[in-house]
Amino acid sequence: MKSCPVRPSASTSSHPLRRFLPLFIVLLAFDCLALGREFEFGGFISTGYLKSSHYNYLADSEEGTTAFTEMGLHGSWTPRKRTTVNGEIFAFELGPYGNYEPKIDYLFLDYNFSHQFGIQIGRVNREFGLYTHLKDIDITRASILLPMGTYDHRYRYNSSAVEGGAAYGTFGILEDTYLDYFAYLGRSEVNEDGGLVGYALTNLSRHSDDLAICAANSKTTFGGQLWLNPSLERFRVGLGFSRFQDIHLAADGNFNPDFPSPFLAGQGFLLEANDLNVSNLQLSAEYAIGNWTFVGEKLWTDTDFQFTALIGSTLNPPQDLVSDSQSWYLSVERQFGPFQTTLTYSEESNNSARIVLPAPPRTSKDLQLALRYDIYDFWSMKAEIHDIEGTGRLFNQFQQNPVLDESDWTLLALKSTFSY
Amino acid sequence: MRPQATTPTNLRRALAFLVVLGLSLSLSAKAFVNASNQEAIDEERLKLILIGKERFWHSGTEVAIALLKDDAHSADTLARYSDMTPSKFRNYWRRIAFSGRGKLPRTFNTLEELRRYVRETEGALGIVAEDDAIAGFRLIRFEAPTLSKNAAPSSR
Repeated sequence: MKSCPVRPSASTSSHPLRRFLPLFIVLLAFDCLALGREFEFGGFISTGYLKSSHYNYLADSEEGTTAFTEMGLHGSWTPRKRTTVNGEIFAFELGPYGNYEPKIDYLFLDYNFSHQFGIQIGRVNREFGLYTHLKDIDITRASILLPMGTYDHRYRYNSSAVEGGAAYGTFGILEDTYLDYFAYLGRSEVNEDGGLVGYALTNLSRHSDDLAICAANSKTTFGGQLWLNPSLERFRVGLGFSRFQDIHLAADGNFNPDFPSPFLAGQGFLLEANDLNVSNLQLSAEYAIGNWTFVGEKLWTDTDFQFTALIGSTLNPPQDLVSDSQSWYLSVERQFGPFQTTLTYSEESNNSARIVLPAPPRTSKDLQLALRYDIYDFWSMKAEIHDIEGTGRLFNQFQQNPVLDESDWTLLALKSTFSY
Repeated sequence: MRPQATTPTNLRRALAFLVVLGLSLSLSAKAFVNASNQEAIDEERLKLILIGKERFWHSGTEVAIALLKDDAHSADTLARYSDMTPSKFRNYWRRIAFSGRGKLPRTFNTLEELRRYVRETEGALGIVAEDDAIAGFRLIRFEAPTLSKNAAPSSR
């Protein structure tokens, strides 16, 4: 059987940014400290608990788990006029994801020509919708988990930032009406143990106990976000677009003996998705008035790729496959002194491509009630309950959900966060 | 209490007015900057600064917003120019700072600490109560809560 192709992975290759990163940090630190220029840092640490009535969502939640920890340290330097350097180191554990491996969440040089035009170079935060660039920062919202179909916490490393550059700014286009823009181009990371791979191989993973990812890398990603801020203050509507290009995934393993097709049962396989492109379009609206905030977002995702399968000794001809998904949510938030409460309803539907097996439709609906209490400015406690219908977001890359036998389930999440 | 804007000319202005009225019943606050900062500041620019869209003065010096902690007058000014309650303003700036898009506003327990910070920081923008003594600084004062970007500012 053909062996799994070993290609340089985005997560391990020697990217120029990575090579120069330590030197970059040392020089900047020296510059800032030696010359006494403006420097600010902050951070957060949070620990949480997940318990579900059925299934393991994000972590081993069916048993109840505290493997839900996040920590971040960010800094901002102003070494020159109109110039800042901003960075954050982030580590997390979310069940089998993260494993406290410190990562540079973002690190970029920002030069601001004016409020109408600025540029960022480095590992830049990818602004897409309301929360993509804030996914890691739960102290900025009342809820613990973001709507699962629109913002998946397991996609952190491939969705939050890109290594490349960005341009941003704000224009006054009509009286009291502003248009914010953010556009970026670069390369994103595909982690072999990350959520994107988990999502892509969820169906197949339920028919192979030894499914293993042997290559995952990506090339270019680009996109942008527009925000229109009409004259009525604190109301904005946004349109975001992003495209991940030329992703390559490869997986090998053996089909289980009880595989539905007797011709394939027990056979070894090597599956490859080449030239995988993912296009996202997201419409967002946010309206804040007094102690109320209303939010709605809808995300459309289209995926196309060339699929190649080597099963046993038979190489199947390449196929061009497509899939699409949609997700949306509405939420209303109310603040009562130190308390914030949010009610969110979200839905997701996905028409996955057939990979060896026809994929069942993946849907999920989630009604979420969240409560946050700020004990102090630096310490918040959160609790939320989810009433979920559907199994569309239950991954199985670590054999955490081998059987899907119930449609309705609930999830309780608790979290405490210190920030400084 | 300062007089509120009167007779909105259309629904948009009426709604905006109600937002401001609901958030800000007292407008007895003023902003001040470091004496070396001679830049003209109108309401639109102040608003852009408070919502983090404008991060630098024209000279290129970074803006450093300075507030008194738990101060009702600062809250009034924030409500007037950013349409945010203090807690929303804090969370809004956390979004900015934690995503690498700016620095958190500084908060001080006493007026003296705030004055010292503005005196020593070239790009500082301090916000205090109308009757707080601010000698040796350049004041920025606006008389009415007009949301028009064409409103004439009164600053000295």
